[in-house]
Amino acid sequence: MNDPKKPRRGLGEDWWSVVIGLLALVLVIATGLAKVPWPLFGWLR
Amino acid sequence: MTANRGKALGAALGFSLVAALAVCVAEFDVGIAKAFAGRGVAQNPLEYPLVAVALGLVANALLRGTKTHDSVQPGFRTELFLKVGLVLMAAGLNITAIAKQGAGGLLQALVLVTGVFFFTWWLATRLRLPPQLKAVMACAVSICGVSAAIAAAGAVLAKKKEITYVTALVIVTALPLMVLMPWLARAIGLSETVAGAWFGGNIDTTAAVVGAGTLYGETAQQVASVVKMAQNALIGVAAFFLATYFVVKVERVPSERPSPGLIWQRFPKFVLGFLFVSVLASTGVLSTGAIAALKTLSKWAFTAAFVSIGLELSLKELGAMGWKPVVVYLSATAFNTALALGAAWAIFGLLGL
Repeated sequence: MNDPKKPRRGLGEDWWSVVIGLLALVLVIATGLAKVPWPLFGWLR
Repeated sequence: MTANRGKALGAALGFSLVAALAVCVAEFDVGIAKAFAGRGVAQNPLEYPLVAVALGLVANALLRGTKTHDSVQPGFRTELFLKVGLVLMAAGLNITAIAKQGAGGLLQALVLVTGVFFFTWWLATRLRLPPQLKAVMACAVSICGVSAAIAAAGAVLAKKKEITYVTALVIVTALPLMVLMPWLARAIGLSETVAGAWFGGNIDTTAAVVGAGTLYGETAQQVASVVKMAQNALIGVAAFFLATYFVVKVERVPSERPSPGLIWQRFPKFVLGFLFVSVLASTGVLSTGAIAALKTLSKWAFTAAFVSIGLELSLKELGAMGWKPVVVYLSATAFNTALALGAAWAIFGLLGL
């Protein structure tokens, strides 16, 4: 876990999870708007 | 420079291994479900988290046997995968639906979360568990298993082995509960609504809650999901209170004044992403298709996390933690089962909420 006493480099795992989650959200919305089918997002198929 | 490059290569290899194993889990999951369906069992009783941890453990043994474990370990980012999965999982958390249909669910969630949290805390204190492990365990049993454990771990700065220990207990306990509870509910003669509320209030992993509900009936599954969602919605609140409590009370240095800045520093930020996505899902910004896609992506992230748990699990480290946490966890689960039955019967049966 992140230790507040240690100097931290970069964004940190917590913020990275938010960034990755939001990127996925943007990708899903964008492909939805462009009506691109989502075969990749199925549970394998 | 070369050392850094070597580390980056190891991380990339480790990550590729996790991704490949996650695909294998999905393949196995589909195959296992088909095999059960062929024998007339519509609901696959072997949940994917269990398959993922098992596959991770096999790979773990192979890596340790060939002395390559340490070099690829930087790619096993269990917590990151779990947090990404949680942010995406919020797409299925519709606050408007909870408020509309879930008055009973919300009331039950409040009763259970408070009751079970303090019971676990009390028992863990009596058995002298470390405060961090106590907080992670109390949140996991009372709120919603792995996701609450991760949020609590961030707020109290728990050790990695403590999270792994609790996660392993959550996964192992959820499986028998998913099969036993519908059987027990039938034996007692519970209505679908009361049974669903009971499953949702007691079983810790969302997949197993849906599984138990499905085994009992459509209404049971719907009620179980709403009750579970109402409990999931309390993750952020619990994380905030725990961060505050640890800063102000448990780890307070007498010369230092606890500041809001320190509480903010402790607060697990992924909860903000979780809340943001759930607000989008609740206000109708996301289409049904988008919500379904995000939920599946969340399942992929969780699969990667559970595979990583298997890959990182060190039986030696877990063994060193002793039997006390297991006793606390199982006793708290038994208490949760009884309290959830009483609460479901009173709120959904007697009051008819």
